[in-house]
Amino acid sequence: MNEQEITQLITRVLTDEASADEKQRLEKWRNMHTDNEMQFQQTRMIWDNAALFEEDVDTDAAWEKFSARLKTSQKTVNLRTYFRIAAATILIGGAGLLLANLLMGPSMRTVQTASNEIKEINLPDGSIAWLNHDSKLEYEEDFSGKVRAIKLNGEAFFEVTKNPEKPFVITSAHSVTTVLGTSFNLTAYDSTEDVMLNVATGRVSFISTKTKEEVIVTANENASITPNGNTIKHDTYDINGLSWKTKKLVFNNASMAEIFKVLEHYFNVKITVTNPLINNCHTSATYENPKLKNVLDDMSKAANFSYTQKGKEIIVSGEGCK
Amino acid sequence: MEGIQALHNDQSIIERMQQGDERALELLFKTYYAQLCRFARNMLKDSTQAEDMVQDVFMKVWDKRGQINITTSLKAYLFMAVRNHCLNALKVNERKFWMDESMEDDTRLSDDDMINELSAKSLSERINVAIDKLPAKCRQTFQLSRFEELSYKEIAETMNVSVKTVENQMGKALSFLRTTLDPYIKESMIGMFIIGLFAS
Repeated sequence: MNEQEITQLITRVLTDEASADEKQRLEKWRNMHTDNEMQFQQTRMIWDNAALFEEDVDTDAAWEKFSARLKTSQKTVNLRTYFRIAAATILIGGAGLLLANLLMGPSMRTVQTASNEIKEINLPDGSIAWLNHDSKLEYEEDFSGKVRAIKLNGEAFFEVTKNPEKPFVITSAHSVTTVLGTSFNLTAYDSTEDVMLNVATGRVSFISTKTKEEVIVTANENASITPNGNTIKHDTYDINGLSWKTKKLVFNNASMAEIFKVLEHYFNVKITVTNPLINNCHTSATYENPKLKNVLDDMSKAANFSYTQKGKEIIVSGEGCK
Repeated sequence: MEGIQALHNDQSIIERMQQGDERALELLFKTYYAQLCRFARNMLKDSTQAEDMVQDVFMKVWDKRGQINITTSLKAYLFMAVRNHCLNALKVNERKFWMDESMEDDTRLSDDDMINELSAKSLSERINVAIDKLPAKCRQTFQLSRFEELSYKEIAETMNVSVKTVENQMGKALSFLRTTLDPYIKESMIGMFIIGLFAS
């Protein structure tokens, strides 16, 4: 046996491909010389010690996503049958036209959140939307149109499944946000406020409906569109922009003005400062699963202020910082 | 014997799927999903895209469940489908894809980088580094055999080559690994020998 034949024979034995006869042949060869035995042991050692160094795949999560996709594809099949019936009706008579119109209008689904809840919505294409408090999301039940059309009033974080052929399009107060597959946060509560976009991964097109001006926002960037259609891009990622979803607050030598703004948004409260000098005080802190009282107590020590709370209204007073 | 058992299960899974039983699909998905993703990731070097590809394949399997034709096993069928789908996605013909990595460049043993990479690591890590240096087709064959536990016949079907080619590639892979790792293996084996002496 030559070198190549030997290696192949050893490999067959290791992979369990070898016949009884082949196993015997290898046994004989191993006993012929210690070098042979050494070669076999070396090869076996490599075989036994070869191990995978790879990140695990979450099969259960993947199945969840996949079965959502499966349901969508089955709905599409049903819809096609509908169209066929509708087409046949049109041929029969004028009344069919009315019926066809009724059948072809896309059915919309609406999900709403109260002031103290966050909802996770599994969209028909496997994308996921987390809807923040006081928000409303409308979407086509089966995404059967040319685009995946969404309407948002409020705030949501989207994790969009990739599908270059069917863009994911969100219309809100005065903006249109288009993506192919990415994750990002969109805040669009009211037509009188700025619409804010925070992109975590990927690339998003952000267009003002008034001026038709477009900005491309990529990972770790954020942008806003004002009610009169100005688009502004900031290249720093808003570190607390996703805190409502991550339940984490990070303040890095932040001013009380910034901190109060974040707290107002996170806890859905209104903070009124009686002395503007308080806004000048700075501090750093990190919270996981923060409670409003704890955070305010810490801040009142750091910036030397006192506060009173009545329901959702908080009044802050003190000497402040220069 | 094991092969016959597997084939029997394969047939019953296909029959259940053809009757519209989604749980049969779920079983198939959950059994092979992680393995198939690893395989796709290896070709595409992108884990998100790899998962998309594998999900596409399962979608196609479900849509076309009336036409599944198994020659070796359902497992080989899935690996083959994922491989073809990935090759399509790479939009290069197969030959060009494999030609990109020439044997010469990859297997130079005197390479300083390689020696650096191999030093100060566990044997398993060293083997892993050496596997990465194998030419693409050889590496894939080895991985399908060692990690995904496909038989030569199943690998042949997946890679669209003969069983003889699989055998050659496997021999080439192990011979390369053994030569490359020779000094480290000897070291480990002496270590084991000493432990053996004390133990006895």
